[in-house]
Amino acid sequence: MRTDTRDYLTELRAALADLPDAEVEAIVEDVAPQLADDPGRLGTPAEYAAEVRAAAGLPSRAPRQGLAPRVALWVLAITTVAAGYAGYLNERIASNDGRYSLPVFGLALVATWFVVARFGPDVARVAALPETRLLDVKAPAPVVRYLASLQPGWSLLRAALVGVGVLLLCHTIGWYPGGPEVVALAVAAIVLLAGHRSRTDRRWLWLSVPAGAWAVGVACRLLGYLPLIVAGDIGYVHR
Amino acid sequence: MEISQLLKGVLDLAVLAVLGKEDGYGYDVVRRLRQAGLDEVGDASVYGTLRRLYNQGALTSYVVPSEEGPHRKYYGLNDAGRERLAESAATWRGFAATMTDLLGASA
Repeated sequence: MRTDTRDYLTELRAALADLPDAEVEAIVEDVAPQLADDPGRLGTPAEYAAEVRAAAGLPSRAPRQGLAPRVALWVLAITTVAAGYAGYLNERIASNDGRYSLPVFGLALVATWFVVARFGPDVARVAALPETRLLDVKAPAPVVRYLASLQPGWSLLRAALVGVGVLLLCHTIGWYPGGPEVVALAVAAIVLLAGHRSRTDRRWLWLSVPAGAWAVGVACRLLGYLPLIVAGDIGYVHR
Repeated sequence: MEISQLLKGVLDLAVLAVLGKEDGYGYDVVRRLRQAGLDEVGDASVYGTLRRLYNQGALTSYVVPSEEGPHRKYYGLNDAGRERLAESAATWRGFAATMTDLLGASA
């Protein structure tokens, strides 16, 4: 067998690799005599593979599921849980309660960055995962409409709660770079932007969903303070 | 009118007709279709059609060693294939007659 023939068949096998072995071998066997005699008419291995698939009624190349979308989904889930917990701990994050969770938050941030940078806009593959589709519960239309009507309000509330959380955190750890209020406003603005952008570019979900969890955590913490505030015991969180 | 568009609908029938005359391997079927006048037929489309007809149970296949190069996998019609050829041929003749009538009336 000539080298270019062998190369062609190797590439053809690669282009058909998702099909059952017997079918791949049958396709290769069929084309081999023509390849030895008149390879010019066949096009590139990829073109040939695509045309054979179409005519044979075989599935076109399945999108590679692979590990990456699954890792991305788990990173989102873990980051969201960690962010919710961090929001609840908030100013106690540097205490004994929270200290040991700091590496988890750090890892979650790095993993999120990795997913967003490495994955590009290809997050459609995450939506195609079976476990994602499991989550995609079909709610009745009125419920969906009602939730959608809450969306803008929730976006604002989320940004505000995240801002408050940042404020609390800055005060606690004694970090005053240009005033905690400025930092809190900036973070709140980023969260607002992330929520808006995530509607068209799903990568922003990796920021907006954990931010939402953090906001819920902060809200729970504030609710815990409510009786104290009502009783007039605290007016300003300060140590 | 694009011949290639028309071919899509009748390639199954064309391949069945070629194999109805005599068994053939893929490249052989391609050449016989061309000799019959179907110059525009795509090579990969013919090979793909052979695979689909085979997977649908209309064809048998057997391997014949070749002295010149790689062995050749021949395809031939089985009973289901012959039945399908007869049905498809009847459909085509009816369709062609209708079209001929239609064109004759409008010309």
